Amino acid sequence: MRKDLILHLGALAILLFLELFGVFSDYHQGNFARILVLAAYGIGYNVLFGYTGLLSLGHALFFSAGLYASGLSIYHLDYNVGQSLILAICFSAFFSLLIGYLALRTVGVSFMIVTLMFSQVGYLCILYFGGITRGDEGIVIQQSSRVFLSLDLSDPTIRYYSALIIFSLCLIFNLWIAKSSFGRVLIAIRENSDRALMLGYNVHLYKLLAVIISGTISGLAGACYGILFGYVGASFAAVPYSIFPLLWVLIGGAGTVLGPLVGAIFMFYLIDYASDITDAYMIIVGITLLIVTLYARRGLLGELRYRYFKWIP
Amino acid sequence: MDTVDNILLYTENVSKNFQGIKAVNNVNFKIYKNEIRALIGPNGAGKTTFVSLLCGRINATAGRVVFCGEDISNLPVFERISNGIGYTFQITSIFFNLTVYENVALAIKKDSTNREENSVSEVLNKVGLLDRIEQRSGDLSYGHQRLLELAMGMAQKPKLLILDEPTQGLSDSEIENFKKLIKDISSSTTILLIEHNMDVVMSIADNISVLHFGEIIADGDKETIQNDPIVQKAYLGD
Repeated sequence: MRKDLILHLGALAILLFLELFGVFSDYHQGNFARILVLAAYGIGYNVLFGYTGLLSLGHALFFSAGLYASGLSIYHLDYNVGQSLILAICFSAFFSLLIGYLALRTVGVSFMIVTLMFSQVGYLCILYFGGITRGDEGIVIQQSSRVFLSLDLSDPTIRYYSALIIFSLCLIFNLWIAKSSFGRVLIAIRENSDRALMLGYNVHLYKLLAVIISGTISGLAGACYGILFGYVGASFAAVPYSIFPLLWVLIGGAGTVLGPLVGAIFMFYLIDYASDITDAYMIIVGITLLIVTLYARRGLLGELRYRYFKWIP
Repeated sequence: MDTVDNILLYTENVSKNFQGIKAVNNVNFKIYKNEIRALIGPNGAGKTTFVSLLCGRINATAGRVVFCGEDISNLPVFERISNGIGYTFQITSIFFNLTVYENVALAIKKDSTNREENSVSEVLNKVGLLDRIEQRSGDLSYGHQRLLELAMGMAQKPKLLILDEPTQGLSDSEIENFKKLIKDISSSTTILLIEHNMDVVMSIADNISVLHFGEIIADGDKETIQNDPIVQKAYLGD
């Protein structure tokens, strides 16, 4: 069996056994369910940033597109979980096509600004249409609506397994992309887009596809987050939720399949432990991030790949 | 030889202006199938700009480019490349963080008859980089990077391969190797060679076009060009 497959399936197996053998306390079980869904969001972000080299500052727009598509359809239209997920996937795919089409007219810093602005428009729309979205206050999805194939998704154990399934699907899809010729072209665009163009690749189309894949995975993660944790709020569409995936990916290792998971675990528990020590926990978080960027500029997994394990995809 | 059927690419009054400066001015140019055509001219003559107009890196201000009988003037660059124009860069432009294998695999034109691994090995064997197939291309020596650039051009299997100063910065022995390789490639591909090294031009080119201040001032075989007073004046001054 290939080394990369063993590594990634091994990581998934560990996440499964941690739960099967009851290693998690209730607290950490809840945390890890959250981390897994957020890491799926990070995988979506990584397809665009880590593999294609396009830095978006507005991915909260795609995350919240999925979150609200599923949340509002359950709340207002009585959709079941399956229907709302399908709607969320279609909606975020369409939305990322639209935003990608417009934003890819720009490059570099302009692309960052344009994506940030689109994301702010989305956030303000959620607040403006408070009659439907209930604005800042948000929507609580009732336990009775969070049932899928007769399974109660609000049950902590089922929630963990559901989060693990979503994360696994995203991870395997990302691994497939990373090893495919399509993924190789994305990496080529990241490394030297002028050369990729001169090899006959339609660079613009590849970038658009990367935005659509990235936005759709982000939207799927958003939808799952709302369904599994029962809350849909405007804070998920605000700037911090565009910055978080960037941080997870940078810390875990841009352009590595497991990087977003490593980054999300690191950031989650860093904030968790730092806030136990002091109210000014962001100081500790900031200093730690500085140290990581000083000594592991490629991110934790990225640095390991650069120094020892060149085969990590 | 000089029949319409034999023309691979021609231009009609192609021009490019950069804010009023005529970098390429009304150029009519033909390249025949299976020839090695050298494009020479003093620095700043517009050589790179001209070939960029052919492969679509830059859009022409006016004029037409016809390739294999089809007007490609309005085609985007990737379609021109897919139609069979290959281009290797003057300043080495490879994927430095990828391996030699991945660089060539990206350039390979997919065909069902040959597996990717075989095609990559075949090309790398020709340029002598097969033993470095797993090496990161950024770690190669400059000479080997130039070879890789050429290998990528070959892997595309283009009908017309444009080589923009391929021997720039190479040692004499490396240049000899390059000359052999280009001769070898020319058995299956038409080559347009931009080159400053006159020894290379005189030993491998079939025909030469001379560009000066954005205009073709002479066109013909080696002897004609060598003895052309206008060319001598352009190169040596009055």
